[in-house]
Amino acid sequence: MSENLKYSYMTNMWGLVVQYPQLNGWNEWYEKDYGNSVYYLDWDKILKYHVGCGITGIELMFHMQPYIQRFFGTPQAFADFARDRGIERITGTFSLAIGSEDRNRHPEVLAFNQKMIDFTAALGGENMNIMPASGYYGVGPLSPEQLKNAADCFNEIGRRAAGKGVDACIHSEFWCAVNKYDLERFLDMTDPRYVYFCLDTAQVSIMGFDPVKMYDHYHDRIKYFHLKDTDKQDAPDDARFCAGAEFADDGSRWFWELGGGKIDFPGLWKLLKKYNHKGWMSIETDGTPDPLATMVLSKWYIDHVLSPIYK
Amino acid sequence: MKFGCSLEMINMRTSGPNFIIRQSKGYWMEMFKLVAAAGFKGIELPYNPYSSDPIAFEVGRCGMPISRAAVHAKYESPQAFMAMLRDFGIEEVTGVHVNPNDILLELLARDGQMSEYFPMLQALADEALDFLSALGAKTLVLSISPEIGLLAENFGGGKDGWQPDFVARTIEAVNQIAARAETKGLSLALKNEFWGMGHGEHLQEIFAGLVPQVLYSPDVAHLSIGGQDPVKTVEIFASRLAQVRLNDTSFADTEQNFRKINAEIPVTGSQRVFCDLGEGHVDAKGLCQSLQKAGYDGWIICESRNTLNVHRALLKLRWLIDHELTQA
Repeated sequence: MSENLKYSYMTNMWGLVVQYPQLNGWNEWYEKDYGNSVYYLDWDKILKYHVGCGITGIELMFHMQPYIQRFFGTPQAFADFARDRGIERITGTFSLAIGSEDRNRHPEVLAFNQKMIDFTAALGGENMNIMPASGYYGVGPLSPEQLKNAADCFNEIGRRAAGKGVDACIHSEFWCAVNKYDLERFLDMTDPRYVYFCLDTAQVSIMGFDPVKMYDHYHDRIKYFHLKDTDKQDAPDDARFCAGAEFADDGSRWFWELGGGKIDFPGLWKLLKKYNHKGWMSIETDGTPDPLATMVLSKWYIDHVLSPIYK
Repeated sequence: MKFGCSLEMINMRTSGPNFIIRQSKGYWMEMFKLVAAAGFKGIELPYNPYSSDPIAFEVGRCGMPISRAAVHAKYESPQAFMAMLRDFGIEEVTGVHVNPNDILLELLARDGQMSEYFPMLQALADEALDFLSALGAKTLVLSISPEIGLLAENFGGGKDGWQPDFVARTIEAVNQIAARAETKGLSLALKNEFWGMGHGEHLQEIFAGLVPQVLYSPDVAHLSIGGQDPVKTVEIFASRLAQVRLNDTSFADTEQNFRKINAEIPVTGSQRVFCDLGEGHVDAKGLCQSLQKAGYDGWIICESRNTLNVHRALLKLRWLIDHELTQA
């Protein structure tokens, strides 16, 4: 019996950039260091960790586009490289619509996202998760006009993405200018033919929404997920709106592996079953000090707590 | 001679466990204390204000003091930042380092025109000079050029012949920046990389066209990879040295990586371009003796570029300085 859900993993947790496609020699890095750094420097190993955990899909950040161009030549070459290591699909990418709240910046925002649409399609990806506007610090709160500007821009991105077979999804960051007080209005202002919602369970929870209720209410718009946990539900505005909010000054974590926080994932899974959700489920556990441990723990949680409910 | 530490020792463009903490202000505040504990009274800062280059976007939001905007956002002001450093035991910022490769990456990220490169270089230098003044620091360290590989692709369209014009325009720009630095009471030092236009014998050709107030910040590992003798090179430029940079390498560029894009990340052959100071084949002690003989009294900036363990590298640097580099 084929399963309804398959798992993809966003690759941003391994570091700011994975520098090497593949290391040629172990000892060059191990000798004199005698540490574990050598295990984390190249895509070859990192992709194998995913497959070893039973994760056969990956998502890529926007900065992988120039990286792949320089190191692999084409998106297809990187997809082949990943496939050779057991990755079935590069399911999607993450992009930005920074500046969309300013209509004068729409040409540059659209140009950047057109590049990402082409990149995602060439990788064989099915969706783009997009931060819908600038960060809140220095920009928010958005005026009604700014919110409309951002929505109009997103609608155009969505229309273009649909033309290439890619689903454009709003991905709300807890530190984005589109935030707690206007996210639902923003969603209503976007065209459901072209714009979907990627429910990042921790991001919306930190903002003050209940992700389970959110899915129940918007399940027809929520086509994709970024699954991650948090213990900082409904964080205060000043914690979310300050400079570099995502990187807490004291190093404390916003995000945890599945089961490491307080999000009701079993509740969410019951709704996935209720609404007969099918497709790739993406896990995104950025902010971890140990990406390998976090991936294994998350997969254990999926296999032993969630899959018995619905898979 | 006085020994300082470059914050570029902390490689932000990498992956691995415990990377994420480098993006918090707390990490950097602790790091400043550790640098002071390792006996360094001066630090050099990298300077990159861009945000379309995807990596710069991420770095600009964290606690790394990589630009005027980053310092204002996370440390209130350059003045407050300096007060904090002095509280922690660091007496001065020795300089800021601008890498023109970041300009090219920014242009490529936003599909800009290459005609914008030199105006952006001037603007970036001016911003960095203002930042230096605000910090009470004295020296702008400017890498000579972006990667030859990136230049060949974007200025040359893959063909030869673009080099003389690019070098001439670089010399003109550097001379202009040096003049502006001088009006502000600041210095400009040009830094070499094995992958830049100062590769090999071209370094002296470039300096022949520069005004005398442009100083030279030699990176000894880059010189070594480029096939130049670091001690001899430093002796040639003895009268115009500043921010002498100690890095180390065991790397031999047998694959001509100096011509390639991402030259510091080889894909074939040997890939580890830099190693911790004292573990490669650079004669750091010989260099320091040569500097002492020449009466050099400026900063020696220690970097141990791309070290896999920053904390060990800091302590190893201190041991080297105390037990080898300053010993007869």
